[in-house]
Amino acid sequence: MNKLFKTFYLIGFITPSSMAYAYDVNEQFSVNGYMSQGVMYTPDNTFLGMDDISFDVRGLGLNANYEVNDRLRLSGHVLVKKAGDVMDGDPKLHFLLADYLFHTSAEGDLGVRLGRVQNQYGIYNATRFVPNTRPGIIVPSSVYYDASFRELMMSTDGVNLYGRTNNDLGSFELNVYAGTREVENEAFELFIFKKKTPGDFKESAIRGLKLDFIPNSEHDLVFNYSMVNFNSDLENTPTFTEDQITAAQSLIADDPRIRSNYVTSFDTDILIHLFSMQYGVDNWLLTAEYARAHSEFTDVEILYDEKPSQSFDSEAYYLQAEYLGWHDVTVYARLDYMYLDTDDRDGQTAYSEGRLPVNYMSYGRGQTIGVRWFILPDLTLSAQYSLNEGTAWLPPSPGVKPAQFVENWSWSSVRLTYEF
Amino acid sequence: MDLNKFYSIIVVCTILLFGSNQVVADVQVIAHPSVNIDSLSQRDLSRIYVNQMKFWSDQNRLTVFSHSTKSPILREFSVAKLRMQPHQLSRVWKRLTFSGTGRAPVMVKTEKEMLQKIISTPGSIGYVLDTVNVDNVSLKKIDIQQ
Repeated sequence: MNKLFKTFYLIGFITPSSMAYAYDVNEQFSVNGYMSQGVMYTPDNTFLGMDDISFDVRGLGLNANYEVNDRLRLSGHVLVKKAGDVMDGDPKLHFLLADYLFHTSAEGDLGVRLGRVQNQYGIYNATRFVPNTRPGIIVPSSVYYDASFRELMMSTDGVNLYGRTNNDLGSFELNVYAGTREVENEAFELFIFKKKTPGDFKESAIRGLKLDFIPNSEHDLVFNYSMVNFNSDLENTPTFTEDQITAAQSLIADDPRIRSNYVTSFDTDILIHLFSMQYGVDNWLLTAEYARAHSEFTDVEILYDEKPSQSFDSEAYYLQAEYLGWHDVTVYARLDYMYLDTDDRDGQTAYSEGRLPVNYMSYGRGQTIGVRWFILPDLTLSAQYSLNEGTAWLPPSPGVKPAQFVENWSWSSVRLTYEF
Repeated sequence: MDLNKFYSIIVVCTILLFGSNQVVADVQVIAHPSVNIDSLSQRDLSRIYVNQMKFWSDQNRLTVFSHSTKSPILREFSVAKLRMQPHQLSRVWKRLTFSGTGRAPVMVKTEKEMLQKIISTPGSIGYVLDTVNVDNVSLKKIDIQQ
């Protein structure tokens, strides 16, 4: 696979920029794509399995869109992403859908999408892996949950109903979607238990909606509200004999931190509300998003012994300013904040009760600056520097225990992207 | 190095880096003769270019043509007619394309190609510079009301 990936790269990066016009095969059929190669510098913490300087960051996306007739459209996207030891570089079907527009008029549209559909969440989620659809190299760390439910946030196998209406106030658009999604890696499990356990989360039910409001304004102004709900049960849990239970109980009594090794039943229900705003005035684009998540763990059994349900609320938000006034260069700055438990913002209670290996896993505060240079119409160079306190949004890395991460850490990255 | 010299170097570097602003003439919005309107509000034109209006009021299908993202003609069109930063417009198009929720306009390379595409595509809309004479070609000029 890596050979094929490298061949694509060579073809892509030596192709002249006139290729940029090749994607509109005709008015009904278009093919688009991008490829990127980055370098990551992580001097403090292992980031996505990468240490210090790594060139092991690359991506390739291919997208096709075919309008069968005035009402029916087919669209698909294949994504190949390699990032350290965490993203393996195997091709993944990002989405593949049929979009049927069953009503349209000057006042609005009504339609349905079926297949693997994109989750509509906030300003950047629908294109979270597509370079240059946001100011930075990755989406804002706080509200997009990169460290925990990245795959679940991407797309859903199911249905997406959408409607849009225009009136004197502005334009309103509603997307409602529901379905399921395979849990592809261990990040979700590590987010819940803070360590690998014998059971697996294999699939999650997903339900969500997004309401956009674009007022009739002099300026470029967008408000939206998103809601998404994940529901997943732990599967393949271990079985224990009476003797094993007795032995395990004494081990847990000695060290309560190992009790997640003996979970025999566990259901999760996570509900996230996100409020977003984007305001473009003159050459500035200001963006703010605020997320509130409620996590509930029910049907919890350890060694078949039922335990009380647990719930907690998380909070995350960011403020971002971009300057877009130059032709070839854009710059931005952002402040991110995240608190995994609003009743225990510094994580000290969870740490003292043995629920967290270190208290600073429970929060994240970050400052980011970045720049993008449009070298050619389709060739861009992006750079980003982030300085962080707390590891709430630091993705888990294989073989690294959360306690090995340091509290104050930075990372920077430069990425070259070619789009066609 | 004195401070004035330092500032002069900074100014020259800034102009060299970012000073590729090409001033272009105004743009005019044009459409295929089958389009049965003579004027559009700025809001409706914006909706057309961000794929929120896909049909004309007579239910004829809309086909949208545009110059590519780095064209100075698109820049002028985006700022003057859509009141949107070209970088932001480009991001909206990428979001439509790569999220499977819509499609960006069909891109053309030249003014000549823009005219040819519009003349040959019923229900189409596009734009050219004001300096392009469209009086003798079979297409319609659309007045944009701010």
